[in-house]
Amino acid sequence: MLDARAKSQKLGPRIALALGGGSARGLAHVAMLEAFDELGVRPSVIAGTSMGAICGAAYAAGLTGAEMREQFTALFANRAYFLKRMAGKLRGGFSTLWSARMPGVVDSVTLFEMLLPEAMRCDFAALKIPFLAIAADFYAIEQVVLDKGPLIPALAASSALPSLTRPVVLGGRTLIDGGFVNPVPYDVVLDRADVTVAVDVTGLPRRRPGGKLPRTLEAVTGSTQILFHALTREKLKAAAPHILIRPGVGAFGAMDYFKVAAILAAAQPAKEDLKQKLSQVLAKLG
Amino acid sequence: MMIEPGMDAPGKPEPKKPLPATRPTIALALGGGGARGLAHIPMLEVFDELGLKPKVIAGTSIGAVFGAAYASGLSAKLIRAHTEEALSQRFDIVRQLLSARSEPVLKFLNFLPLRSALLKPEALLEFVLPASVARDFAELKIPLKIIATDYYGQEQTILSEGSLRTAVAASMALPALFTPVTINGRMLLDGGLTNPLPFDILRAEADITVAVDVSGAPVMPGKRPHPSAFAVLMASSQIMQRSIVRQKLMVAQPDIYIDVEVDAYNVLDFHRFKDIMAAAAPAKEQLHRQLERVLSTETLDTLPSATVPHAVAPPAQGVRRMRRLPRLGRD
Repeated sequence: MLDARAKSQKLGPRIALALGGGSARGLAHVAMLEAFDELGVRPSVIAGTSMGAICGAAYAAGLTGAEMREQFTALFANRAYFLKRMAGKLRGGFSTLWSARMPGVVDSVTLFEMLLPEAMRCDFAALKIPFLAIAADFYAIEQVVLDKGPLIPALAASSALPSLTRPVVLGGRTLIDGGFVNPVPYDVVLDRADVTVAVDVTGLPRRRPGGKLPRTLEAVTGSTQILFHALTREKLKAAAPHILIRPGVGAFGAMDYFKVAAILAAAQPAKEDLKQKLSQVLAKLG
Repeated sequence: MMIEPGMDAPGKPEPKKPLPATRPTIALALGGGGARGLAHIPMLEVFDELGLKPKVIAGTSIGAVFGAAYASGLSAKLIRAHTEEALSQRFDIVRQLLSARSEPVLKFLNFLPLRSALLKPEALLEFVLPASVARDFAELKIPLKIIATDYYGQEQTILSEGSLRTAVAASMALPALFTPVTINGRMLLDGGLTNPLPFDILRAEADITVAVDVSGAPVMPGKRPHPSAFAVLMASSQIMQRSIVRQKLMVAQPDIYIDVEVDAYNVLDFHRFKDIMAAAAPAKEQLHRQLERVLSTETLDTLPSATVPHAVAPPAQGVRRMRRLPRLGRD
């Protein structure tokens, strides 16, 4: 008991980090991870949903925020390079990735094995920071916390956005994007640390000029974002994280991956905000 | 706080005042869920059968449709007869469009230029609601609160005055199927996006809160673990609405929570009226039993009315289940 207390005092307060889903907007997580690097603070546990799971897992695997910035910027520098890189890696041809008959066109396990760095092709157990990925069980309509087994299929499940990528079957469960049950998964790590930091990258609907009604597809994605917000709002009523950061990336679309530079630039003020709030909390807790 | 003289005179036993034989007031929340919401009709029948009249009703989407009809003073029997007729005969074009087993609807969408419009919800309502349904909130027999979603404000809007049909239309304006409805300069969409089961806005409005949940769950199609792309897309918003309801139930519970077993039905299964009615029968029984229990408890004159809100514990099964975070590999 005494030993444990002494140990935790030596290590300082434990910080849990929860990174939310938001597709391309989730690239902003990279800036938040840089904030941790720059402060020399290491989260004791990370939970991630969808794009938050990918960034969180990369960080837990040992990549630094700066390394992730570099890799994402290179990968999404331009469409031609991205497609070339994907095509170069597809040994079985494009049909391994796409199939019109399958639900969701892209097989995300194959996609992630191609795109994610070697260091992430491992088991949860091999990660340097305990990490949890959130997925949704499609039929049970409930949250599934993935924390063991191979990492890549778990990340694929956590970010299996319906109609874009296929659901992932793991342990007999049909899993889809964790955002549908837990867009900002701070609640699963609240009791595992002294301080919980949550990063919410949910988008906001864009207004069309002249007060025109949104186009059908805009209204569909816009309403999904409303559902994400409503879910997070209800969660905040039950329990709130100590630090909640909303990087100003709401205006970017879910598929704006090629705007990586602009997204990271937009996240800069939030990064400074996070650094300041974290330092304050750490100073208070000693 | 003022204490009236003589009220707490020491030594004198407090005289037992006989409580007036009034029944508890009931606030009723009817949730959204597309065709599954046809199950609201049998729930309203329970109120008629027990001779109970809700003090206030809140409705989201299909819950707003039936809430509006009932709050106008129509009997549940009449609502059932009208709905069944509308869905079986007069409703052909719309019915075909809605019930066209998903894919054709998508095709239809694709042919349209991707503008905002598909169906005008107001036009559909003129067709679906009996003519005797009130035109304005002010004409209603029971106060009604309708939930819609402010698209740009990203939050719920509670509509309780002005044109009733416009409000119901806004509440059911499911994106991609219906055009948004503009009220007071605000662009409104389906209330289910922010509050699929609006029992929380009725807290403190009545002694007992009753919530009817028709949000349903996607159903496993036989052996195939992979649902079709369209099914996943449709079901994903359903999953989120269900998640919102669960989250709300963690914060506060209605006194009576009815989770209607309508999982087997799609949001657009309006052509399966009889099946949905049959599926809702056990839930109807449950509501009948629970309301009767509340009424019998309530007539005991020893029970001060202040304790009533928790006289009947909600069936917490669903709540308990969701508190446990399932982890892969545990089972």
